[in-house]
Amino acid sequence: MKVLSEKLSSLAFTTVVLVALVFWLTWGILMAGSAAYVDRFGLMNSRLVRDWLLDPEGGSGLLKFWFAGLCFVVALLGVNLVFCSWKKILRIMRVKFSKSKLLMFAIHMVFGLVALGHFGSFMLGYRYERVLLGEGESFNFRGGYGLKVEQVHFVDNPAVLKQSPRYLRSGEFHYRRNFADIVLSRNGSEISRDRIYILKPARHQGVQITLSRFTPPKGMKGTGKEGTPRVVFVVTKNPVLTAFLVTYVAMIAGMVIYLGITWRSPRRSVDSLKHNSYKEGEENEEKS
Amino acid sequence: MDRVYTATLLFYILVLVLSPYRVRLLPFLIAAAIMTNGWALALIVIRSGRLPVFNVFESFLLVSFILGLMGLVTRDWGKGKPTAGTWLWLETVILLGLLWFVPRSPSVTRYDYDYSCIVLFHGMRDAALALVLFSSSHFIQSRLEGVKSDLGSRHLHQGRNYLLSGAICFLISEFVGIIWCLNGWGDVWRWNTAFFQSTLIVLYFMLAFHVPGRNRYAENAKSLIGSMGGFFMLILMAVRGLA
Repeated sequence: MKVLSEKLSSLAFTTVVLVALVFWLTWGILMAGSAAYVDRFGLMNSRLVRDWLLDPEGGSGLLKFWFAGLCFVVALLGVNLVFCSWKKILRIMRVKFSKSKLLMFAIHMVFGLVALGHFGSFMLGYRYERVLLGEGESFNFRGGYGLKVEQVHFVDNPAVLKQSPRYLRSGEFHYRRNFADIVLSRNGSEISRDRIYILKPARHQGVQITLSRFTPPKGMKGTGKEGTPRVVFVVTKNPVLTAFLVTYVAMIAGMVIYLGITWRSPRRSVDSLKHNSYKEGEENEEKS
Repeated sequence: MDRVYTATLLFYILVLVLSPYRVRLLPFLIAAAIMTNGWALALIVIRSGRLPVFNVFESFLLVSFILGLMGLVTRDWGKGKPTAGTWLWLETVILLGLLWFVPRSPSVTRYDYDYSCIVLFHGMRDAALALVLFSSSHFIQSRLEGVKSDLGSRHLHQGRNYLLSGAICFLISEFVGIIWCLNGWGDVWRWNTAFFQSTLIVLYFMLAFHVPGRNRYAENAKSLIGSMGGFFMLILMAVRGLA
């Protein structure tokens, strides 16, 4: 048991898992870049991963296998982190650690929380993509919520909406001037009125309403300006979002402090093998 | 624009050729290269009215500018043999040389190019690439000096410092990218090539900082992974930018 625990907490195991993860992701890149899988990844993006996984008609079996494999390898990294951290906790209780080592330990802990938060955002809450609504139309979703579009305000020529948003230029589309006025209600009672723009969503009680794009008005022909564009929303709820963002910032802040306190090599002219470049490693620690 | 780019490339090539030697002219040549590089960037800003961080041409010009400034500040040249500065100039020439094969024109200004998260996302990635390339030059030098030697050890530590700085800049860029994605698509993650490539870069950083052991082989492995870091990131960013 002790041997297994040593192996699971070792840096060698970390390296093996990271290399495995690199290969697994490279496979993912190859799949995502192939024409056969573009739509399947699109389907994966269109809903919460949990719903995508549980839906038997949710997409390719190979893609689900790839995702399961990805989770498995990341879980191995998590196991490595837990065992390594436990060893460190025991050591901290026995011997006094330097500031930099304690900080590095804390950064690893926070990294674990970031990874958990990331995984949580795949599995918790809900996601409705491509909710297409025009003025006066509404959409009801989980939790008794209702989203109604009161007004769509569009100052540009609607003809530009025929092309992909990716190719819209600054002069032809003004994302800070085009907006939609929405009403969010719950169980029939209005809870908020918001004006939302592209890249400026509305958030209430953990529910986020994102305006992803405008679509050409119904029956628009040629380059005429008849009608009002409709709006495509993404409705999401991610209960771990705040925790994820806060831990992410904490991790970066920790790394900045760590870099600051370890910038100077403690033993500059002695044996180079004892310098402090990568001393955060568990194995290095044992020998020092 | 093409002429300014060519002049910048030629200046940096001259700096590269002369950098291993103690030539009085060298600091002036470096200053000239940086000024020409800066002029190319200024032209993009003046013509487009935005920061030059968007396509590969703009990004690599900005990265070479940052590298040039780092080279000038560190003043690591003129010792009769290749120094970390030499590798820095070589990287700059490779970076600019790659632009020879891509369209050398600024990106079309898309409607959201003034959105702070998008600008910061691209800008921090460029800063990260510059820092990681700078760290690579130290790692390469540490291999030449011998990782066990005093000088080699110092270069190894400096390489580690800049690699960690690059990783921090990259993580900041990723964080800003998360905010952009959240506000644009309602989620912190998308299942596509661009996100996977970014994760690959993060994994590379993790690998570089988790090499097991501390014997000579381990130190060599660290310096080898560190040496390749800049080129790995450069290739991934070029592939992403050209896709």
